Amino acid sequence: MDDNSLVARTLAGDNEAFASLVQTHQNRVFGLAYRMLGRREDAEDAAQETFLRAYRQLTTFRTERSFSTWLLSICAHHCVDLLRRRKIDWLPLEEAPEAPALAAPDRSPEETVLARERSAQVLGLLKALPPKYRVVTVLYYMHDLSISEIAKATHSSGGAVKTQLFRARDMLAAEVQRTKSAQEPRQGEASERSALVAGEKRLGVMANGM
Amino acid sequence: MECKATLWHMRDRFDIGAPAGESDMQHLAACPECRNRLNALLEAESLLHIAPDESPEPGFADRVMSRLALQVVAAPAPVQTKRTVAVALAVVSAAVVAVGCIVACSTAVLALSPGRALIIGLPGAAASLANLMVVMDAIAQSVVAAVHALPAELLAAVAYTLVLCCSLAALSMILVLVRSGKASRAALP
Repeated sequence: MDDNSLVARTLAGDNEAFASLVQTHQNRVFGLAYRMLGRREDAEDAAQETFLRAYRQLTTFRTERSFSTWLLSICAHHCVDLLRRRKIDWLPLEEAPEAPALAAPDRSPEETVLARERSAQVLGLLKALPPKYRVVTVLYYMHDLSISEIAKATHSSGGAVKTQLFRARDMLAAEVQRTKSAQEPRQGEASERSALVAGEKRLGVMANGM
Repeated sequence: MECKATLWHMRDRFDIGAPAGESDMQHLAACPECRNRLNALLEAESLLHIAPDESPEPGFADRVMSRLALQVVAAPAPVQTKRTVAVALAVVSAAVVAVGCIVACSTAVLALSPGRALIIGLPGAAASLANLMVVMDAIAQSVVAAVHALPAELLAAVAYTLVLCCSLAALSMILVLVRSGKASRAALP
C-alpha cells in the first residue's frame, strides 16, 4: 500500500496504518536526525518527535507532495531548532558509543569496523558545519534531495539553498584539509619513532653479533 | 583568474555533468592550492555518499505508537482547534473593549454635560454612534440616580478603569493569538 493510502487510512482513524508509515520511513528520519545531532539517543528522541508531530499535523499534508520529504522537512526543522536552542551538544567522537545498527548480521567484522570508521568520519565532517548548512548538506548528499526539494523542505529559496551548499562545500573541503594536516605531523612523529626503534634494534643485533 | 571562483565554477560544472573548461584545467594544473582544495572536496563528498545507513534500535515503531497512545491524540487536528479558540477569544475581547469604550464615552458625556437630547443631523455612522452614546447616557444616568451618593466624575473614573482593564485583557489575548499562530507556523513543515 502506498504512502497516500496509508495517510488516508490514518486520517480515518486507523493507527495501524500510521505504524506502517513509521516502519517505512524510520531509517530515513533517524538517519537525518543522527547526522544532524551526532548522538543516537538524541536522534531517537528527535525521530520519535518527528513522527508525533507528523501525526498531529497529518491534515496539513498535501498528497501531491512526497510523504518522505515532508517527514524529512519536519525532522530537519526540529533538529535545527534543538541545535539553535543549544539543547543538544555534539558528543565528542572519542566518547561516541558504538552503533549496534552498524553491526548488521550481513556484515563481516571487518566491514562493521569500516562502517563505524566511516560513520565517525562523516560525523566529524558534519560537525564542522553550522546547523543550517549541515541540514542542506545531509539532505543533498545523503538523502539525494534536489535543490528545489531542499528549498521546499527548509522553507527557503533555491538560490539560498545553493548559497548554503556552496559555503558548506567550502567548509567541508577546509575540514578535510585541516584533518589531514593535523594527522600528518602525528604520522611523521610515528614514522620517526619507528625508524628510531628499528635503528636501535639494528644496533642491538650488531652489538650481540660482536 | 581568482582561485576560489575557478574551483567552485568547476564543481558546478561537475554537478551538471558538463566537463571542466580548458581554462579551468589549465588553472588547476598550475595551481597546487586549488588542486588540493578540489581533492579535499571530492574526498568529503565521497565520504558523504558512501556513509553507511543508520537505523534506530529495534522496536522503534512500537515506541512511537506507545507515545502516541500516551498523548491520547484522538484525531490529528489539534492545531486548527487551538487556533479557532484563540481567534474566538480575541473577537470576544475586542467586543468587550468596544462596549467598554462606548460605556466610558457615554459616562464621560453624562458627567460633563448631563441631560443631552438625541443628536439628529449627523451623517451615517457618526449619528448612530452619537445616538448610541446618548442612549448609554440615559442608562448611565439611571445608574447614577440609583447611587445618589456617587458623583458622576467618580463614575467616569470607574468607567475609564474598566476600559483600561478590558484593553489589557484584549491585548493579552491578541498576544496569545499571535504566539499560537507563530507556533503553528513553526510546527508546520
